[in-house]
Amino acid sequence: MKSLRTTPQVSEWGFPGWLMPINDLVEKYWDEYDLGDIPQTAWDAVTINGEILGVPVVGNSFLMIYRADLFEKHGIKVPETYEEVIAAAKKLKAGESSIDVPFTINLHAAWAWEMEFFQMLGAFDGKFLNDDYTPAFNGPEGVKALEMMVKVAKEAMGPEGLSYSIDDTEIGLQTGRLAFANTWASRAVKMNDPEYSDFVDELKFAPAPAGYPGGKVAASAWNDFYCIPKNIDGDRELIFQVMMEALDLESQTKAVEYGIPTRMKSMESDMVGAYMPAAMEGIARGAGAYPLTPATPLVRTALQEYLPTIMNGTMSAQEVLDKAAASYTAEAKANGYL
Amino acid sequence: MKRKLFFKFSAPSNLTMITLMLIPLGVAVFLSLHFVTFVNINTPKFVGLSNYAAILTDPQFWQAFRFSMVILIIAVPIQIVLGFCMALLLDQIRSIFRGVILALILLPFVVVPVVGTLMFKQLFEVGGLVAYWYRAVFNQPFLFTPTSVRVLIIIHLIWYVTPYPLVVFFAGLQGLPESQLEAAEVDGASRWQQLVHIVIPFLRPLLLMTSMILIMDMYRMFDSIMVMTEQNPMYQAENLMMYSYRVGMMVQRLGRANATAILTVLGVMVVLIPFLRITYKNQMRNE
Repeated sequence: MKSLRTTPQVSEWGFPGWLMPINDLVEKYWDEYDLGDIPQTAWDAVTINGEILGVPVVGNSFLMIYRADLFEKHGIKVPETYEEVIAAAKKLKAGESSIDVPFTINLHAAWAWEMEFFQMLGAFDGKFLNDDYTPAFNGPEGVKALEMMVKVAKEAMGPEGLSYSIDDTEIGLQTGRLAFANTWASRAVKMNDPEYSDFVDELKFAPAPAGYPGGKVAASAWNDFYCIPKNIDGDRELIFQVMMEALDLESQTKAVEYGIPTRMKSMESDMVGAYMPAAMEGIARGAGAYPLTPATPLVRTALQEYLPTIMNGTMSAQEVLDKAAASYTAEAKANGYL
Repeated sequence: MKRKLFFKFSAPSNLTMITLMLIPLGVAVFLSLHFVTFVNINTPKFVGLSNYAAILTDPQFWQAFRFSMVILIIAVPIQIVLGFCMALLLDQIRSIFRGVILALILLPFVVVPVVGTLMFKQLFEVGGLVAYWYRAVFNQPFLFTPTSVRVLIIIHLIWYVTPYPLVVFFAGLQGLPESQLEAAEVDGASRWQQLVHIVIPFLRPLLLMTSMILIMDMYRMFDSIMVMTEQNPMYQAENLMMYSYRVGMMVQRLGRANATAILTVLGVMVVLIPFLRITYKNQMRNE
């Protein structure tokens, strides 16, 4: 039995010891299946205390998708920071009647707030946790990140944009209701497909905006993995081989049409989407994934519990983050991480 | 029937009830007295009543409790009254269309709750039909705010659950003896008097039973709220089930989630006491 796991589950299931280490199999079949073709960063994202717990299958990241025709019409240059995003959105809101919402990030659900915060936190050089697992997200960088998110939500998105889900964003861009967005790279695949999009030639791609000029982009990079449960009764080597067959270069080359496979050689395909350079530049400019620690799931839960409440206007960014930090600390202590 | 014979005949259902209800309840009580997460699930740590204390001093629990009560107080009476009125109207239709109309009315109740809620929510989302009309009429977008989301949840619950009391009352009306209504009509009773003095007393046991079931259902509502809110605390629309899910599945405090479940069961019992009392009294009177 094999299963696909995203990076957060590597922490959630890896640390309790529910996933089977496969170092020996990776080493044994390294050359036969050309596993060196998968970047080391992807292997690192599934390695806990030296134990490899899965095989990276697919990746994803964030990028900015924008309507080049509208930008040109209103004399807007492609934003590189969130301050520039807000300025561009204001200009479009004031002068472009064909759109409903100028810009969106994904803030429609609690988990979406937490993920966007993680990205914005990185863009302001912050981090979730200190090395001793005490909370770091409620420091000055976290406050700046959350304040920027609120500013973006209020000034660039508006109340309607706040309810845009990932699907709404994708459809909004394809139908012309939305001018630009920072969203998943996998959602860029169908932007230039005439079957789905009314703006095939107009929709272009750029790296996610940064927190400040020259800083890291507010993006994240993820991998999904094939993992084997530790309590499995079957032949683990056979399962590994089946996984490898599903991960061969032919399958991965076909997959570039739909996403970001992990084999680098698959990127040589002619089918690589027009969005790929922007996604790759974002990864090169600091987009990363959640820290691999046993306490990470608790941080995410605490943030999901409190971040969206800032829109109710009763607490400041610092107060919201302090509440989340207090909630996290209580749970981390109860679980013995602090 | 002799008591001994009664116990023999009812033994299979009693055993099933004990297996499916009392044992899980016992496990829930056990877990509620322990610190348990997914990691230490095999070695739970006894913590006494501290899970209960933590819940009862948690403002989010009380906010969830309040919203559960709001749902109960608003949705259940409307579901009962609406279901009753629709059953009366349906009972007046004598043609072949009665079956067709009944089938159409039942649709929201037949559709899988999550699917039904998604379809309902999509009406109000960007590009949804109602959102489109709203914009056309008011010249502004329909927004998901704490108030609108809570109202939509209650409207959805009414839309989706009302077919249940409707069917129950409609079935009850089929058993109403025509002779009683005819006699009342001969005696000069108005339609309203027939309704108040004959129909409603006749359906009283069904009204009580349906009310109890709806109260339990509304108290335990989960899927509709989960889909409508996607756990976004901005909407302040968490009920007790959602609170319990969040504490159990996200915070991974299984003991505390079980303590919430126990408190929820107790809460349902408290709310149901008046209904159970009336049912008991009726039964005694009949015996």
